[in-house]
Amino acid sequence: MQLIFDQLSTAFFNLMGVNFLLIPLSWLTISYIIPNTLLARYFKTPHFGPTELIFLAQFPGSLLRGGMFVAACVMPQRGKRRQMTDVPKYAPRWYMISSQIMFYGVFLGFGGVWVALFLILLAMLPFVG
Amino acid sequence: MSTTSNIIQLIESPLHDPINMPVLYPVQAGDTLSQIITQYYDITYHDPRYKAAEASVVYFNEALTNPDKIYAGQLLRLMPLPNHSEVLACEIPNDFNPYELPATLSRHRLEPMGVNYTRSLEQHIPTNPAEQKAFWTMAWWDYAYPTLSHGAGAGFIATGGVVGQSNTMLLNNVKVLYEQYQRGFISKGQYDYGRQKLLTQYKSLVGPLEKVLFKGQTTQEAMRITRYKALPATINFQNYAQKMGRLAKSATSGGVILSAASLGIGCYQIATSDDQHEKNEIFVETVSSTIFGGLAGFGVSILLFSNPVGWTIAIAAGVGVAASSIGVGKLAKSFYNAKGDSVDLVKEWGVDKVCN
Repeated sequence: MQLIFDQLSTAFFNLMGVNFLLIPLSWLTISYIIPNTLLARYFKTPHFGPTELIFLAQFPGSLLRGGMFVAACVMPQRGKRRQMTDVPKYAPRWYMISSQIMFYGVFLGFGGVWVALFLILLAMLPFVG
Repeated sequence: MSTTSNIIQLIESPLHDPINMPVLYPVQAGDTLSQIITQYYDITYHDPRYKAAEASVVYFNEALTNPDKIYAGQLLRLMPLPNHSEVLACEIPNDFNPYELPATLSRHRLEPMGVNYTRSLEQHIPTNPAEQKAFWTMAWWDYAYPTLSHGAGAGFIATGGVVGQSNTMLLNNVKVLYEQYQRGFISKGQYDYGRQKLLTQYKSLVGPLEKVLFKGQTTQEAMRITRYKALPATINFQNYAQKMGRLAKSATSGGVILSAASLGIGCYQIATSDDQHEKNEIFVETVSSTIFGGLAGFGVSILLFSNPVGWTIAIAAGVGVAASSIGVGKLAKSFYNAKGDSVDLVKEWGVDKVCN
């Protein structure tokens, strides 16, 4: 058990280092590169509320906006309540690819594996050390 | 008798004071130019100021080439006139034709902003006539004071965002509104409507923090015109705006640098600790909580996309993310301690050198 825990925790700490560089940098980048065409079309009422428009317009709220537009590209069907189900039709190809890399690669891939390792280590913790 | 250059100088003179922004007037069906001028400037056709007002309207609206060619929905920029005595002193001749005024640099100062602004408004114009009226009143505010629509929300930082400088500008705008009303640029109705709208907007933005910020009072109660102790009438607006400005500045700056500061503190502790094991513990705890905070924050943004929520829930989610990331950091530290083959991450990754 201790051996498995040691190997998994080594992977966990290595991935921690990668994520520490990757997540903030990629999130900042994806928030900064939202195409103006998408912002002009969707970043207004009725898709966003008046408070959201103020709150999400500038850093650090703009990071949340960046995440929301990534979600709009990779899971448009979830945007029914915001009337944003057709975002992929208007998003440039490069932004769609970037969003998919951010979501599936960084968030679910590197981030998801790290969280999964965390949960496994947490479950093993009472039996080691 | 005045020359054309004197007349241009006269009608451009309000531009020297930044408070004198043009009102955007949407032409209604059945409007005539003379009717708009007499109603807006509250003068008759035979008033000696009429010629100056007509010259000002023609001068600041480049598209106006013929008084008979205005159409419903067209936006006219109506600049305030210079004061009465200046207009009378100018003695504009009766045969003066405002359509022959040459374009000058000053007039074009209004152009880019006016054109872009008009375009940006087109998509938001409501269909209900009553709402349209309110819309155009507020559109003028937006045009005159663009900070209204360019909030500097502080994002994750609740207090900074709530009392942010953009929100505080709403209070400042009430002050400016009152001054404009005092100077006769807007009517009592416009002032009351604008004040009500601004304070309601501020109230909705500060939410339950209202009573804390205004010492138990509501926004409407706190933001009153002062009529005693020989104090300036707008002293309340001024004082509260200054107070909120200071508060927002410290809260926002503090909040924005919070995550960076936590890393900085971690780094400082790593640099000052003599125990290598302790250095590793600090490193693992700090970095893990930062990563989890980032992942959870991104997750919240995805959640917000599919489920629009109010700002209170958003702030609660932010607080939840912050609290859980601290917990994750502590657990990651315990993983490091439970690990049999202890590795020196701080030394291997050169964190020691960076922090030192």
